[in-house]
Amino acid sequence: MFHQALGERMNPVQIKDWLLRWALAALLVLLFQHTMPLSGSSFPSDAWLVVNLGLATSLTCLLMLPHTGGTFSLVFNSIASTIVFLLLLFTHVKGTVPNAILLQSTLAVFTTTLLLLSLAGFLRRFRATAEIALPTVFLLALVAGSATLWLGPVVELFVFSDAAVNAIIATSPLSYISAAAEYDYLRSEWFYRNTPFGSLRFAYPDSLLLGAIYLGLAAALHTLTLRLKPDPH
Amino acid sequence: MKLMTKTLTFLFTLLLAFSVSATDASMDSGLKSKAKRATDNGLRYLREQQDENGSWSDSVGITSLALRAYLESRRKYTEDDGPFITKPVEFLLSHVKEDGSISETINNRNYNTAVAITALQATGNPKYKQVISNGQKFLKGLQLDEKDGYKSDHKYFGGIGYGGDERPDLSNQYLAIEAMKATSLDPNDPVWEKALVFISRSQNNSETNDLKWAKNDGGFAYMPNYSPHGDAVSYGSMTHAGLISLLFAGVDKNDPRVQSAFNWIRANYTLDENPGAKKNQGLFYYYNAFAKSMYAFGEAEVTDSNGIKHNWRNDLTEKLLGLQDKDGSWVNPDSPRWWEGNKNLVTAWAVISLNHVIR
Repeated sequence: MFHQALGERMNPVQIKDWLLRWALAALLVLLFQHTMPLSGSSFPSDAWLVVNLGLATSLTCLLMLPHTGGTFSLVFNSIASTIVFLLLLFTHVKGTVPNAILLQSTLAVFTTTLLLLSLAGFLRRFRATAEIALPTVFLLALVAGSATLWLGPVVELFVFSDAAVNAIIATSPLSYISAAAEYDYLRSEWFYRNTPFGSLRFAYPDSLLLGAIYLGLAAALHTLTLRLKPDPH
Repeated sequence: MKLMTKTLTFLFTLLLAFSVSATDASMDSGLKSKAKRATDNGLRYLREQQDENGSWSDSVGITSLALRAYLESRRKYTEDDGPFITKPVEFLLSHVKEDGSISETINNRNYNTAVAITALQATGNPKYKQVISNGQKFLKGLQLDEKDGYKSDHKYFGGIGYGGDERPDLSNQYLAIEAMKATSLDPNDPVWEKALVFISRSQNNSETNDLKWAKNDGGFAYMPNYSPHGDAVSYGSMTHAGLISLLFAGVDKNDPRVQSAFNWIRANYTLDENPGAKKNQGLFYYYNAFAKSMYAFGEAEVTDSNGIKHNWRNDLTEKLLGLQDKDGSWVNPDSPRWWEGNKNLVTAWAVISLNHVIR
């Protein structure tokens, strides 16, 4: 268990874990404070809000929801993250979100959370990574999420085929949630200025296909986690 | 006597023909013939690359441009010429959406719809009137204004972007404007006035640009206060796109915005590169915009800042002839950015440019 029963005192390991979670959550808040206005100065884009809320919800749920490593906990937490996402969506988005986008983005948040939690659960099975599972998955998500940013110079240096460019774009969970929200984030002002993708021929991944891939990966990782005996601590 | 009359008639005809040729100052007649052959070769290349479904590169945008290259060529192709014209039209129609857009993707909906309705208009077939009208409405709906929460002092006001929830830019704006002009949108429609706000704010001309960033060389940036070639520098492709936009939006040739744009073109006259752009990026986009803006501006010659006169038709033809591959295609040899590694797109652009040269 990773949560503290009420009234119980935390031991030093639990305190360290608690501090780490809140530190990462604070980092997340700072990050999204900066990414929110990136689609342009005072640009009232509901779609970009959907993307940010989606990613922020998945990452926050990864950090904050208690996860036992069991199947029920995994599914419950993923469903909880989609409920939180929907609540945020209805309270923050000014316009009406089309049903197709609502469905696609909800599915994207569910599968992203599921994959992140499955990976964290998998890493916890190993002594070497048990304690750093959470920050590792969190950082991996950030690195993958910003893939279009840091792979931009590589794409600029070498000539890539359209398929290779599409594959690079598809690696990023940000692209996944953007595709689900039908938002062309690579051509928003900030990304257009800072990555070369907007000037290339590309297509966003099919969000339903990527959802199925995320689901498959999560199922495979979770099955492995259940089959593996935990390392003796 | 009869022989003498015949000889005199022959000499007179010869003289007349010579005098007509000599007074046709628009371009060198030898180069014009070469330009015609080059368009034929380009169109032949495109014909070989056409997919089974009539499209090029499975793209509404590229198909529209290739179709336009055929329809506006000196051969005056029409739908009566066969499936190589009717099938791309069907391909475009198969991508018409309920909102009036014509696109195979949610990206580039403005570009795609704009060039698609321009191509459909070029068929001259009244059957497409409704599709074109719906396309016009879609393009107009993309313009950012009060309905989207933008007041007139916002830098995005009046602009048109890629067609999603993104920022506007002059490149998208110019293609939408060209489409609306080609499809005879009412000149009194408020869309023109609003578009002029955004266009003027993309120009490096502090006299007419009410935003503080503007410098004074008269050229155009990609959008207010931004160029992909550094800061907000003016560059060739956008300056010609800006000039076309101003003229098509009904601005007079003597307006200071038009004059300062033309002065930038005079000061940076070259066809060896896309002036102001990095590594020749967007070179053929530049040639295409250059041909269209120079044609719309209506002067046969451009006198550069050093007082040297340039016949733009001759210069563009010579440059494009030199860049054409043996198979009739063109491609940007220096940079694939903005899709200029795609031979179908670049060939269509080059042919459309030459179509403007030999008109």
